[in-house]
Amino acid sequence: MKNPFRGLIKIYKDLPIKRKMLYISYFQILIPVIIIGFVSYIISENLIQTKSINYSLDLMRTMELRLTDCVNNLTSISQDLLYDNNIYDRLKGKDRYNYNITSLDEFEKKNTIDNTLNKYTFSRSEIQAIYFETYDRKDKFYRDNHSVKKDIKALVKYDLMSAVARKGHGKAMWYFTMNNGKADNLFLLRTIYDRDNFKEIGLMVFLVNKELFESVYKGLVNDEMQNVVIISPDNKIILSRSPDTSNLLNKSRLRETNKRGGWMIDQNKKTLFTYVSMDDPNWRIMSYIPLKLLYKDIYDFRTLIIMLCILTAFLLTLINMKISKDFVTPIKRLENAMKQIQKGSHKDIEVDRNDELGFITRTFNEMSKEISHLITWIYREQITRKEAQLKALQSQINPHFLFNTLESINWMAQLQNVPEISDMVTALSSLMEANIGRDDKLIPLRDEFKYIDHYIAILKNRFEDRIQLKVYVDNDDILELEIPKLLIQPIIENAVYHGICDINKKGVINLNSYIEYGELIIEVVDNGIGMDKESVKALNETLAMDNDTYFRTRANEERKSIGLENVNRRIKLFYGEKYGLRITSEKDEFTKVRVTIPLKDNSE
Amino acid sequence: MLSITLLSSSCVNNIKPSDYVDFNEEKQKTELRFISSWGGIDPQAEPLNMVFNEFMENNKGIDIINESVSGEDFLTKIKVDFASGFDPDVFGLWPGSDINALINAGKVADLTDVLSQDPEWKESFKPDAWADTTYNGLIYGLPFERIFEGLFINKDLFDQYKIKIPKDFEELKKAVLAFRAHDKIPIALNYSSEGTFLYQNILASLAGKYIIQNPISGGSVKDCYIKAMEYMKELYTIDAFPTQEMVNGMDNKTRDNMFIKKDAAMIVQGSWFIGKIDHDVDTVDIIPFPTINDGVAKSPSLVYGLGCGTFYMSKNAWNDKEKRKAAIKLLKALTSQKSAQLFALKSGMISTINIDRAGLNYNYLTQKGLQLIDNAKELIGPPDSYVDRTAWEEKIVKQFIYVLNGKREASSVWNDYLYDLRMRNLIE
Repeated sequence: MKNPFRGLIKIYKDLPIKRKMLYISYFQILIPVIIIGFVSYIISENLIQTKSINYSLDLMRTMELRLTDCVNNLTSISQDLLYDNNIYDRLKGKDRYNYNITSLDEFEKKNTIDNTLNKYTFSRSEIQAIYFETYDRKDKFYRDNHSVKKDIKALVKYDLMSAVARKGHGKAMWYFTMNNGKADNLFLLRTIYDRDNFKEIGLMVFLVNKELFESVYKGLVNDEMQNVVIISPDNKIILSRSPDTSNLLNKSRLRETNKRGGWMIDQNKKTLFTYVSMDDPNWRIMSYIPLKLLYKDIYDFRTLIIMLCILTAFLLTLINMKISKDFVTPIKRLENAMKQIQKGSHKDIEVDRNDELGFITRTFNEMSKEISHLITWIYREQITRKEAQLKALQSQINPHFLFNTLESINWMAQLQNVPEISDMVTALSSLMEANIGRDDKLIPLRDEFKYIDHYIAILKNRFEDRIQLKVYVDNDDILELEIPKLLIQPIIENAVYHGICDINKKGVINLNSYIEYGELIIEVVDNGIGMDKESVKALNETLAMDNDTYFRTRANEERKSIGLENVNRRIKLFYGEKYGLRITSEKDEFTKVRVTIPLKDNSE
Repeated sequence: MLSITLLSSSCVNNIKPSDYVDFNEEKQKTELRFISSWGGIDPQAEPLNMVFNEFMENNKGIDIINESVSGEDFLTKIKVDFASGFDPDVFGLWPGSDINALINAGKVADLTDVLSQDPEWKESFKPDAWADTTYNGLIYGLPFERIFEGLFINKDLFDQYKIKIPKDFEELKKAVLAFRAHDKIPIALNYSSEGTFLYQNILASLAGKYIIQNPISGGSVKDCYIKAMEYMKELYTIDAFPTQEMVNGMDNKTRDNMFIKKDAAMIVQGSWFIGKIDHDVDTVDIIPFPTINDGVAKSPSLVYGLGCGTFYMSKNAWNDKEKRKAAIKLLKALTSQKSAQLFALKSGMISTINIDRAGLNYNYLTQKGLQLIDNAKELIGPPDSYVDRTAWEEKIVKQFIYVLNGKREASSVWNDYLYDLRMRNLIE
C-alpha cells in the first residue's frame, strides 16, 4: 500500500533548510498555542455560560425568595386578622342580633375594628387597603391608607372576587385587574368561614401595593438582566420590567416552563431565557438576556486568542528568519565554494564562528586547499608519466653504449684529423647528457642557450649554411636568470622541423630575450613556412586552456605540436596558469613563439 | 487561520437549541405542621419536643413545625386555622364539641383502616379508650393521654394546723374556714378555663356520668349546672378563694404556684398538674373529690377522660400522599410505647398505652392517681368536653366572677350560653 505521507515527506525533504526551519517552528509553537487556546476557549466558554446562567438563576431565586417573603407577610397579616374575634363576630353578624349589646358597645366594637385595620394599613406599606364584607352583603367595613387615589370600595367586585377566593377554601388567593395587558390592581382575597360549621361568612380583600412587589428586583437586576416579568398561572403579567414583554410571553415557550425553574437558549431570538416557578402562589418569574451580552466576554476572549496567535506567528517568523539566516548563510557559502571547486578554482571561505558550522567551514577550507594541491600534483604526475614514456623510448638505446660510441667517434675523428666530426660528436654528447638527466631542475638561461648552440651546431652538419641562429639578449643579467632545464630547446627544435626545414631560402631563427613588465620574455622567431590563421588560432586556444580543461580534453590526442604544448604545460604547472606560450605567425613569412615566465619564481 | 476557523466554529456549535436543565435542588423536605395545647409552660411541652426531635433525627426527610400554644389561646388558633384553610397536618385536641365540628365538616382524616392494617399498633392502646375517639363507628383520633381531675392538698399544711382532710362538702367548708382562721388561702383558683375545674368537679358529683354527657335537654341546660354554681358561690362567700385583688389578672402559673409554694392549701387540677410539682412531692396528696350529699354520682367518683394528647390527622394532610405517609409515621412515633414511657417519666403523664409501669418509677402522686382511678365507683368525663367549648369560654368562664360576686345570675349566664349556641345554629 502506498504511504500517503510519502508525498508530504518528499515535499518536506525537498524544502530549503530555511523554509524547513520556519515550518518546523510554526508547528512547534503555533500548534500548542492553537490547541491550548482552543481548549481554554471552549472551557472558558462553558464556564462563562454556566456562571452566567447560575448567576441569573441565583438572582431569580433571590427574587423568588423576596417575593415569597412579601406574599408570606401579606398572608400572615391576613391570618392575623382572621384570629381577631371582633372582626369575626362582626362578620358573623352576632352583634346585630344580640339584644344584650347596647349601641355604645357596638360603637366601641366598631372602633376597635377600625383601630385594628388602621394598625395594618398604616404600619404595613405593602397594604393599601383592607376590606371586609359579610356573606349576606349586609355589612361591609374597610380602610384605605389614602396613599393613593384608589378607593377600595369602588374597586371591590364582590361576586367576581368571592368566586376567585372560594377556590382557596380559606387560603389566600390572588386577583388582578388588567390594564394594557399588565396587572393594574393586585388583590389578596380570602373567604372567611365560620369557625364552628365552616360555612362561608364573608370575604376579606387586601389591595396590595404594587410598588412593594417591584422592590423584589431592586438592587438585583443589573444591566444584563433588565427584562424581568412575573406571570400568574393564567399567563397574566403581574409585574414587568421588560420593554418588550411579547418576547417572553411566547405561548410555545411558556409550555416548556412547567418545571421548578431552569433555562433555555432561544437560537432564533438569540436570547438566554431563565425562569423560576414559585410554590405558593403559583407564579413564575422570568427573565431573558440577549446572548450578545451573555457571550461578550467569550467573544472578547476569542478575539484575544486569535490576536495572540497572529502575533505569535509574526514574532516567530521574525525570530526564525534571524536564526535561520545565521544557520543558512554559512551553509550557502559552503555551497557556493563547493560549486567553485567543481569548476576547479579554490578560494577560502570567511569563518567568523566557532560552532559546528565554523568547524565544518574551516575543515572545508583545508580540504579544498588539499584537493587543489592534489589536482596540481596529479597533472604533474601525468606530464611526468608522458615524459617517462618518452624517456623509455629514448632509453631503448643504451645511453652508455651511445656515449662510448660517440667518444670512440670523437677519438677517431681527432686521430683522422677531422675536427668537424669531433665537434659534432661533442655537441651531440652534451645534448644527450642534458636530455638523459632531464627533470625540472633549474639552470641559468646561459646554460640553456649553450645547449641550444650545441643543438644548432649539430643541425649545421645537415643544413650547412641554410640555418642561422641569431641570439639577442637585452641585458647580460638575463642570462643569469634560472629556468627549468631544456625549456627553450624544444621550441628551437620545433622551429627547425616545422618551420625552416622545407624552405628554399636560408632559415634564420632569432632567439630574443628581454624583460617586459617584470616578466621574462623569450621569443623564438623563424622565417619558415609560417601558419595559416586558423591553425594559429586553434593552437593558441589549446595553449590558453587551463590545465584542468587541457588534461581532460586534449592531453591524450596525437598532434604535431606536442613539443610546444608540453613546454606550455610545464610553464603553467610550474609558474601558474597565466604564464606560457603564445604564437603569432604569417603564412610563408614567419612564426613567433613567445614565452612568458615570471621573473620571480612563483612555483611552490 | 486554523485557529480562527476552530474558534469561530466552536462558538456556534457549542450552543444547542433548547438547552434545558432543571434546578439542582435538594430534595424538598415534607413539612408537618403540628398544633396542640402542649406548648409554652405546659408540662408536656418538653417531652413532646424530645419526641419530635428524635423523630426528625430518624426521619431526615420530615420536618415538624410545632405550633403548639398553651392555655386558652390554643382553641381559637386551631379553629381559625381550620376555618382559614390553614389546617394543621397533625394535631392534638381533647374530646368535645370542637373535634365533633371538625369531624362533621370533613376536616379530619379517618384512621380506621390505617389502624386495622397495623393491629400491633392498635392493640398497644387500652381498648376502653377508643370509645372517645370513635364517631359513627369510625376511628378518627388516637387516644394517647389519659387525664383525671382531683383535689390536690398540701398534706403538710393540714398536719400543721391539725385540720381534717375533707370527705364531703361540709368538711370541705370546715377546712376552708379553718385555713382562713390561720390566714392561709384555702383553695387556689383564678377565673380562667382551668379555674373552672372546681366547678366542674362539683358538677360531676352532682350530675353523674349521663347528665354530664348530655347537658342540654328541651332547649335548656340541666338544673345541676346552675346548682353547681350555687355551691361555688357558697365557697366564695366563706372566702375559700384568693381575694379579688389577688385574682385580678392572675394567670394560671401564678395560681398553680400559689398551691405549690404552700400559700394555698388546696387546688382542683388535672393529672398534668403532677408534672408541675417538682419538689416536696410527698407533702402533697390527691384525694377523691368530697362527696356532695344530693349528688347523683356514686361516690367516690372521678372526672376522667382524654386530654389534649388525643391525636388526629387533618384531611388536608391525608390528601397529600407524602404528608399522609409522614403523618402516619409521626402518629405512630407519638403514640409509641417509647413515647408513652418518656411522657410518663418526664411529666408523670398517664397514657392509654400498654406499658410496663413497674420500671417507670411513677411518683407518689401519679400512683395515687392510678389508685383513685381504680377505686372510683363512677368515672365521669370532663364536663367541658361535652359543652360547646367556644361558648363555654366566652359565656361561662369569662362571666364566672360576675356570678360569684352576685352581679349576674347563674341562670342568666347559661341563657347567654344557650343563645350563643342558637345563634351558631348548634341547637334549635
